[in-house]
Amino acid sequence: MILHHIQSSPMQSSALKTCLRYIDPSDTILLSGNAVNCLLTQEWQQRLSPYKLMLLADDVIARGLQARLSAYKHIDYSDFVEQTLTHKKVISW
Amino acid sequence: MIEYNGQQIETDHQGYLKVAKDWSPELALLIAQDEQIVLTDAHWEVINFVRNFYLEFKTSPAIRVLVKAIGQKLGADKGNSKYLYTLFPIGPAKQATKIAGLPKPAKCI
Amino acid sequence: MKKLCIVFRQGPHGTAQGREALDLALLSASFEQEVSLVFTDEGLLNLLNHQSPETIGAKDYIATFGALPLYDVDTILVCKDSMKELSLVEDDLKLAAEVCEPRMIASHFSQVDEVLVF
Repeated sequence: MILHHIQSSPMQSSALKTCLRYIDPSDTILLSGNAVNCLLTQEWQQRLSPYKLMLLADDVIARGLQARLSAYKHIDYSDFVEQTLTHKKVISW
Repeated sequence: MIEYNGQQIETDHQGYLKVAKDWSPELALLIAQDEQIVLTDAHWEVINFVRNFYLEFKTSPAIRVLVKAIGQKLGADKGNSKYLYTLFPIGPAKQATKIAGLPKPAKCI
Repeated sequence: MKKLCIVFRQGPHGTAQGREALDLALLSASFEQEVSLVFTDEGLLNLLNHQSPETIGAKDYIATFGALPLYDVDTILVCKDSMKELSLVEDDLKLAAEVCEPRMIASHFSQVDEVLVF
């Protein structure tokens, strides 16, 4: 059980793509920063659909994307800390 | 700055050579003198190791690597940092690299 | 002793990531940590033969990879998919690395204590 933390959009960096190459089905993906933007595209909605997903709420709100991304789980910073503790390790890509 | 053979050799303010190529075994004697060390064969083993390591890998070896290499070469009784400190009392990595004409290691004992 | 895995994900010389990753690897290894390295994506290019970084005024930290065995860093994994993507073969690499399937790298990640990506 690994928490994969992605901070950049796939249009900006290969982090998310690389992460998916090594992810285990039981792992979680946390998107923050520009990474939240990827869920606006059908491609990434589909590619991420098999995994447990979380978005950092402040980054979604800052970008005005709450309504568009309302289907996903949004978490605040204290939830983030809790997640880092409940997972076996965190990989920041 | 060291004066040697009528030539001015550039050093940093701590006495490390600026250009590793300026080094020669004779110059090493001068630097060692400045460090109040009389070079023996035992010193040269270490100096040659760090210099060759640097020329091959473009970095100075960590003390652990130095200890291991000396131990492999000279026997386990000499493969410890105590032995290296008897040769270079102020700090093996610091003094051996200085005498070997290498830049000061970024992080070292 | 901690098991630390350092991932090289970016190509050399364009950014300082590769050099910083290698610095951390050597430093951790000299403090008795069990260090392993994983090369993926353009990070593979760190291991390419015949580089001359000094041509563009970059520091030649590539030569320093050769010292890894002396620091007891022996686990060096290279992603097979990235090799294929970049049209590289084992002979192109300057270190004896183990070319492995992504799932082997994934299982390596699960076995170590920390994974740091550069």
